[in-house]
Amino acid sequence: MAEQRKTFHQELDEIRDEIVQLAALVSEFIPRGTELLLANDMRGALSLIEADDEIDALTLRIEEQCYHVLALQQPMASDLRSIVTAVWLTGELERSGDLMVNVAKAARRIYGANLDPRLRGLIERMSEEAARLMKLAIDAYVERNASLGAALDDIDDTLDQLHRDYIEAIFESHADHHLGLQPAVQLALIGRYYERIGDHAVNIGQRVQYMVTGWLPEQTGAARLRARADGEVDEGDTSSP
Amino acid sequence: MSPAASADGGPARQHYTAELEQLALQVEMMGVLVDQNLERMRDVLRGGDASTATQAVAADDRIDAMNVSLMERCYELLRREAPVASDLRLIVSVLRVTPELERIGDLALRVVKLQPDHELLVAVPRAFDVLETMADHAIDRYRDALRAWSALDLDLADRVAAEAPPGVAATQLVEALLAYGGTDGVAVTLRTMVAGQALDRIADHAAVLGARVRYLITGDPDHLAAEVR
Repeated sequence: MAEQRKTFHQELDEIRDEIVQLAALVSEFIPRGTELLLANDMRGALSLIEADDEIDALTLRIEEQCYHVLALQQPMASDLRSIVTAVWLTGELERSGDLMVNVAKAARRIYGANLDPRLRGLIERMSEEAARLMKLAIDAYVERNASLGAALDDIDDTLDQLHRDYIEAIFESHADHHLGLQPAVQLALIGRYYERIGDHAVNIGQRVQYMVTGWLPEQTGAARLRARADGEVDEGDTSSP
Repeated sequence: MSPAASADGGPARQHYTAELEQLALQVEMMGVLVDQNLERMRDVLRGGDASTATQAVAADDRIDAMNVSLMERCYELLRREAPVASDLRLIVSVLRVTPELERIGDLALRVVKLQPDHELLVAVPRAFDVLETMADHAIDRYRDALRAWSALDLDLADRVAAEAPPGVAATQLVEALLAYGGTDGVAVTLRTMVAGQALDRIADHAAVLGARVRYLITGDPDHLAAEVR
């Protein structure tokens, strides 16, 4: 039995290590995608698009490994939460990688477009912020730091504000005829991709909270529902979930 | 080996089978609650009605509660029964599908919460038309995914999973917004893009649901791979 538990925990460690490896691949995509966008680097764009296959393959391997552990072991409580969290995290990370693939594809669509310094600066800052959020999310996972996981929602406000400034800059550049319609459209979509990476990092933070404490964001809504059933809260209460 | 697994066809096994059937039905019920909120979302988007928005916010708490309850039930079954093969696939699928449903509910609420800014959303008629079309598309796609789950319909699950993300609509949306010359252009754009992004993602999550149903039916890891793009 002791031998079996040891093997089981080794398997859990392997899953965690592979998640970290997946996160490293995805995190590396963020500055790389931004650089190729700003440098009009078409070879780099193709290379990043092709490199996504490695992320996809690793995602599947981790997920299948999680199912294997579920099938062959009988994990209890926190171990079970770790495995379910790993499955969730693969989805969040894999989709973050896809978003940088979208940036690379958009870079190809706007090849040769002349971006003014303000737009370039905002793209760089959004990229840095998205990468920082992803790093913090993975730090929270590795360190099993539920407080850091919970803080990511507030930390993400910086990226949201940058995105607002960025949209404003696109509008101004387009209105001043410095930026054509198609590049403006693609740039607006690119901004959205960075913002969504931030959202995925926040989701990872919430999943880490769940892994460590068993708390789910949905439990807040469930508690409100119980309170309403007990007559403590009016049905019209619209505090956000 | 658990008693349920050893007593093939006995009362414990029958109870376990009934629990699995109930689990699948509960997911369907959660899916219906999400569906109702998607309909409220469409109403709020069209007309900006505040009372419907309030109902949607309250209904989302019920969706959250079901998600928590279903997850606890899955954990209990994993602990107690050590399921294998198709039983394990069902439980794992429930653990993967319910957060998708919950996320779709949250995205619907993101659109609903734009209700106080409804005037800004309708300021650019062409963009608003695109938003309405995106909402229709997202809801249709979601309903197909839910039907595939209920009927374990592989063909339908295949179609939902294979449908390409509606990137064209997002492009049309931004084009319409950039052509708008109003002084409130940035405010209009930010709100419209929030709504557009949420609707886009609802359709995307519906495709993931389709892929999950396909995997549940076939157990083929290649079908799992189809979800990963």
